Amino acid sequence: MEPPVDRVRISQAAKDQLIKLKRVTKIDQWNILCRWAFCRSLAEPTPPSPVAIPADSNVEMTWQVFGGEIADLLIIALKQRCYTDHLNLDVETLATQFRLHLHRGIGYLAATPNIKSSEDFITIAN
Amino acid sequence: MIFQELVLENFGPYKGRQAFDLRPGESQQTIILFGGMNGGGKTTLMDAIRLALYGHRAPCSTRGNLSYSDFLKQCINRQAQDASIELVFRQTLNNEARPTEFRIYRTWNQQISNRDILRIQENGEDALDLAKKWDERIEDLLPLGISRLFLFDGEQVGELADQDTLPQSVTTAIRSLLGLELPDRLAADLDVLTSRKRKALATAQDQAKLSEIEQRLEAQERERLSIKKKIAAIQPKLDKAEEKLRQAEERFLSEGGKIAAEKTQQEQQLQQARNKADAHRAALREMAGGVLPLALIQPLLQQAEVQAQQEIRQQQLEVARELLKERSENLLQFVKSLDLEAKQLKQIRSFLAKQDKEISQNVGDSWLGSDAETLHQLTNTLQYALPHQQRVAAEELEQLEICQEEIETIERYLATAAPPEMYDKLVQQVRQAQTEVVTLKADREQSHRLLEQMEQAIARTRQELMDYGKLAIDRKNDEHTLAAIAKVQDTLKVFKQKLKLRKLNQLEALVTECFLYLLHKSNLVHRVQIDTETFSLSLFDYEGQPVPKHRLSAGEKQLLAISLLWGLARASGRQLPVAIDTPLGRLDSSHRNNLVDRYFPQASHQVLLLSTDTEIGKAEVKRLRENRAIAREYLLKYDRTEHQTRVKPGYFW
Repeated sequence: MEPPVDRVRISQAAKDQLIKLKRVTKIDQWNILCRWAFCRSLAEPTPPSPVAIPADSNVEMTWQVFGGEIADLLIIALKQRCYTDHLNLDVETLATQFRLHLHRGIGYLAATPNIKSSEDFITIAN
Repeated sequence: MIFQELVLENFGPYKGRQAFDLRPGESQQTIILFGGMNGGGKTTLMDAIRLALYGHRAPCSTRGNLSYSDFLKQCINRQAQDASIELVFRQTLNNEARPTEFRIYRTWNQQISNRDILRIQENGEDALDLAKKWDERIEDLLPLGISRLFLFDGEQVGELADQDTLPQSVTTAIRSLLGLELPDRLAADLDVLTSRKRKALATAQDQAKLSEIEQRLEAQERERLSIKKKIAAIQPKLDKAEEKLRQAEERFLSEGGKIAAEKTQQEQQLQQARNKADAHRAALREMAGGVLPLALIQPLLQQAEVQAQQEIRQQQLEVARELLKERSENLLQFVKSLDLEAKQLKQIRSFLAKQDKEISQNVGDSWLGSDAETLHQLTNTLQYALPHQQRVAAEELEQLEICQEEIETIERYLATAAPPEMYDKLVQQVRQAQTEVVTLKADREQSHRLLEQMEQAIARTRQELMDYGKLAIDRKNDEHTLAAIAKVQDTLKVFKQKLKLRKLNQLEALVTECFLYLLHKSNLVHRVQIDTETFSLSLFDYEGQPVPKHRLSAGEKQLLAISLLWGLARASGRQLPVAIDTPLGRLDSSHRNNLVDRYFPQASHQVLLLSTDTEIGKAEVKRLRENRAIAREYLLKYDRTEHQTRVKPGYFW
């Protein structure tokens, strides 16, 4: 399936938040954290606010690295979400929505006070 | 003592060798008679005897104030260069069976330095030792003091009775003759001893040192005792402390060990639980990398699944439309051929049409654009993988929670239970007990060391005291001696007094007897008294009235003096020869006869009479010869032309 972006780029603010999450959860892979963040945002019923997100950090990865074994499922989820949100499903929109969701999710995870350990992280998925 | 022989060689007027046989005869022949005119050498003979016996101490008549060596030189005959005297006498020593014969041989010459050469022969053999100590030896045999009373000048003796106080030499002689000087000498010796001991005692430094050592020893002994006491006091304390330590160690082993074991166990469990929790967390983190995040978007995915299914079915229908059309055609053909009722045919046709319509109608938006594979993955994930992962995660979480609880429990236990303090307390107790034991042991060791040192010090002091001990004993002896000396001196005084009285009483009796024996006026004097201090004589008549001495004639005085000497000789109890020079000067004939008859033969066992022709004259010598009292007679004849005396046997007549 066609990925919305070839390379996933993270803003500096998001990077800082990820660093915090890394410390708390002891999960030291950017991509795993980003996957969770993306899903977290998708789980929110409201659509993300369209804000400009700079790619000003040195953290970046290919889509395959980001998505891993569930890369295709994540594309489906993004498309479904955009469809549900009555958005166009063109590549441009998908890419923008991906970035918005990813960064909103990182923000949500970093701001959740309950997440203090690895197990707390898992708990949000159960 | 008996003189045997006198040999003179170039002595005084005697030129050449002159020998006199002095041995008394048998029975009553006691007198050896020498006759000689004045200046004939009689007194020289007497001097020779004295010189032979006493050497430089001899009281010789012509010596005066001459030094001994000058005197000796003067004694050498003018025609000779050297001189010698030989005197032989016999003395029975200490009740021996046979008398010992002594030969005194003195020789000297003009070149003499200061002394004569003395040689003594004892029983014919040279006795060198005796020669060296002769001065002392002769004092035993015939004391110099006494010799004056045995070898005497008759004329000088007469003066004795005349004098109110006797000369010192005579009183000393009398004293020694009577044995009175012995206590004096003893007293003097005791005085010397006293002063010596006093001096010894006066070494106050030693005494102070001694008492200092004694005090030191006493102090050290006290200290030693106190240390011993201290050690004795430490021992029970130490035992107690050791018991306490043992108990503390026991308690530590039992309780502390348990606590330590429990603690370790708890800590191990805690560690295990933590490890387990970490393992669970790692597993969870592992899972986080899987499909789990998709659980968040399950509804979204389910919606997508439906859409995907629709899209794929549409695609399939699209692909199969011609085939279906063909098949429907074929089916219609076949049904027509079946010869079915129209109604049924119509129903089938309408069914197929409906189907076609449904298919064409069902076509919706195909926006998802997923393929079959993705759909398969989605379905699989939603139906199996995700629920499975969720279950596993839930289990892991549960396990983790259990672990967490366990950790908390253990931590709470470790935190709440006070074993560490208890443990510390036990350890502290053991340490305290150990410290106490060590301190006490150190105390004991030190005390032992001190004790050892003290004992060594005491041994040293003892040794010192031992060294001084002799001194101490000497001191005590000295003190004892001093005390004894004082007593002895007192006793001696009494003894001396009593001895003197006794001896003087004896002497008085003897002198009185002799005097009355010799005196022809027997009614004049009844008793002779001798003064205890001065030995001067007083006479008393029958009425007990004193007889003044000036009432006595010169002759009577001489007789009194001779009586004194005779009495003394008898009182002394000594068997000594008597030599009398000028025996009968100033005596009248009756007194002479008395002396000749009564005194001379009995004066001693050997009587040497040195007489001129007027003293013992023809009549007297005849009387003596008749009485068979004379053993030998010698005539000393001085030759004026040759200035020498010749000796001949026989008398003037």
